[in-house]
Amino acid sequence: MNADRATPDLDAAELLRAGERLPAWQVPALLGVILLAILLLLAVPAVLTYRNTALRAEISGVLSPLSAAVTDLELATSARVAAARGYALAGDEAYRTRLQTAGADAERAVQILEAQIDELPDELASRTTRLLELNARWSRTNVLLASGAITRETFTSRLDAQDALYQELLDATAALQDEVRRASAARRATIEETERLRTGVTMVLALIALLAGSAALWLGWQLATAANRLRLRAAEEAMLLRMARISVTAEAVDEALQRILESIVATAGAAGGHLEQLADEATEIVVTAVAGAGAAPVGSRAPYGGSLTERVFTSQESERTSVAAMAAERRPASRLFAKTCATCELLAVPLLSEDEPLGTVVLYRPSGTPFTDADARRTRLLADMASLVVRRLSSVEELQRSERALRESTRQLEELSAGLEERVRDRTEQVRALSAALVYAEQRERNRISALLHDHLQQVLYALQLNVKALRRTRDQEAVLAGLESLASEATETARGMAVELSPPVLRGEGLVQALRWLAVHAGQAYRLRVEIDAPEPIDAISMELRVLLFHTVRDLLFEAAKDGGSGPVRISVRQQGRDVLITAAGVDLGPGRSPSRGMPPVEETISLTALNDRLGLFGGRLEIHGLDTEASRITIRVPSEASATPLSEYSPTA
Amino acid sequence: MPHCIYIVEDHPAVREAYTLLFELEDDFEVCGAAETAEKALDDLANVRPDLLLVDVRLPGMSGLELVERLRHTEAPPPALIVSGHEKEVYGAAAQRAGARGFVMKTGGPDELLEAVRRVLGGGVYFGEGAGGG
Repeated sequence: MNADRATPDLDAAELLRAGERLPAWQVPALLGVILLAILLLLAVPAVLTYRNTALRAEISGVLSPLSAAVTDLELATSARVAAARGYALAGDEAYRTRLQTAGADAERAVQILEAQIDELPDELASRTTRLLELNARWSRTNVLLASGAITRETFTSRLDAQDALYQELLDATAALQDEVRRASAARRATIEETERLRTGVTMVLALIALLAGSAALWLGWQLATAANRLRLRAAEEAMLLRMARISVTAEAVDEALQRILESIVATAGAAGGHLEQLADEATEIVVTAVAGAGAAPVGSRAPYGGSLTERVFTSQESERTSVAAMAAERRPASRLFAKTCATCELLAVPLLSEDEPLGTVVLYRPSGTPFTDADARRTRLLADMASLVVRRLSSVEELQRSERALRESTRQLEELSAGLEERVRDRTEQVRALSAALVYAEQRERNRISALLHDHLQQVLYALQLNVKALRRTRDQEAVLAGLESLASEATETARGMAVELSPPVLRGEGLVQALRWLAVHAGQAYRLRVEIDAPEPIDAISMELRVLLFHTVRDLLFEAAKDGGSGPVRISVRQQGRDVLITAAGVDLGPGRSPSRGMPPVEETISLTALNDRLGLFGGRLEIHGLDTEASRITIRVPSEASATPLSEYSPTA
Repeated sequence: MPHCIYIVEDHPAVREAYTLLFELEDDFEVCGAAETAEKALDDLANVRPDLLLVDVRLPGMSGLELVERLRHTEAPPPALIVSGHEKEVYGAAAQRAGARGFVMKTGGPDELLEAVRRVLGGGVYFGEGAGGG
């Protein structure tokens, strides 16, 4: 099978294989992967960005204000320390005012810190709480001083304790600041890490998105391929239906080929085409169909090497070429197209029947629109379908021819049967006639014997009886006795003659010629008929039954001659002529007006020449009469010398 | 005076035997004989026999035809038909032809003479079952 050859079954198999490559779960899975990739591509960076934004907001909104508030608190505390010590030492109201102002500043910082505590991480919250507690303990003495609740001396007396608290406050402040810096640094580090993670994730997702895109492209290609195959399949099925319609409606192969070619031309989008077929035992190529416009092919031609058709026939492969390309290769076929389609693009596709070349479909298009592999494949498929149609129609035509031949044979057989029946009827009639003739001949012989008995022997014996009666009464007995003796002799001779008549002894011991010579003498004595026998050589190499047949046939003819009154001699000629015995009797008058001689059967008992001929027919012989109804009639008997009697069932009369 | 008998018989030996037999009888004489019916017709124009003894089978005209022809003549002589065949064959035909008797050759000379005398006596003779005797 050729590579580009595709049958509907193979195409269906390819579709099935395509279906196996693309199972039902694959499309939703691929779509899910693609969707997930898109979601991740969008969500992960957002989450990471959100996370960094939160961290930055915590830094800017919580940690930085915390640090600023701590710093403000630290500055206010320092100012309060200086103002408190100055007021305690100098008592200057300005210090106390500063002390009050610084106290107010510290109070605002404390308020800020207190406001942030709930938003702070636990560590910062606890440190802030610790700072606020220390600040509150340390601030209480200063507030009392600033308000005048305690004296400067009291304050001074508590100064050591205040310094100690102040040192703790400073330490707490420093620790809180350190913690704020560490928290800020940790968050910045997290932000940086998140930024790196987002970049990496983005790259990975971009890669996944690329793969998903590729998968989507592959899926789309697969779907497009499947859709294309389905379209092809639909087109092929439509063409198959068209072929089936042609197969059903076309009444002859030529008509089907024409319609098939028109369909192929239309399906292949060709401008025209023609179909060539091998004919006359591959000694001739005949164009059997032409469709569309283009190169006008010749009617028929002898095959020649290198032609498009021969190449396709030989390779059983489709060939795409052009008239120009064929001319460049100096291929003779180009000359056929040069006159009518010098610039045509050509596609030749073999038409195969069970891998045997049936013909070639040649399609042409205008220059610049060459045929593609798909065109070749599709056309090949259609050609294969067309081959099936042609093969089916050829089978139908062959069947119709066989039916016609069968009908003709049946008709001939019926005619033969009718002829055979007619021959059987004729044969039956001839056999019946021969049987009747044999019965008649037997009765005729009986009549003859009866006549002999009545006319001769019985009369002699009756006369003898009368003489015996007379002998008793006469005195002259010697005369009567002499008469009696004469009558007795006559009776004896009559009996002997009858025995000889019934079965001539010469037939048993002598040859045919001797028997006929005896018959001639006997006819002369019995019927006073002159018979001359002309037989230069003996006829001995014949069977006894043939000898008896010829003897009795000649005797019957002599009877006929004797009925004529024996007007002239009967001449009997006996010859061995080749493998036949030939007996000719001349002088036997078969015409009308004959008068029977004494002792012969009456006229109505004359022999039937037809019966004689049929009797000879049993031995493969025949009887011919020349000059019937004339005095010069001549009868010829011809019979094969080696003949023996044919059974009646196998007998075929010659006349 | 002996009765005159005319014999019509084609076989010469039988004809001679008839003559010999009748000549030996005192009351018979043979006044003529013929081997054919045609010759008998010619003779009978001149001969008036008392009885015709006729064989049935003759060359040419048969004995029965001869009797039939003579029946239409004036005063035909009585005829006795003689035959070698059974009386069933020719007996009735002989009666229809106008014969006065029919006798078979197988009956021998005695029956023949009896039949001749019966017919000459004015009677008929057809043997037993052949018209009475």
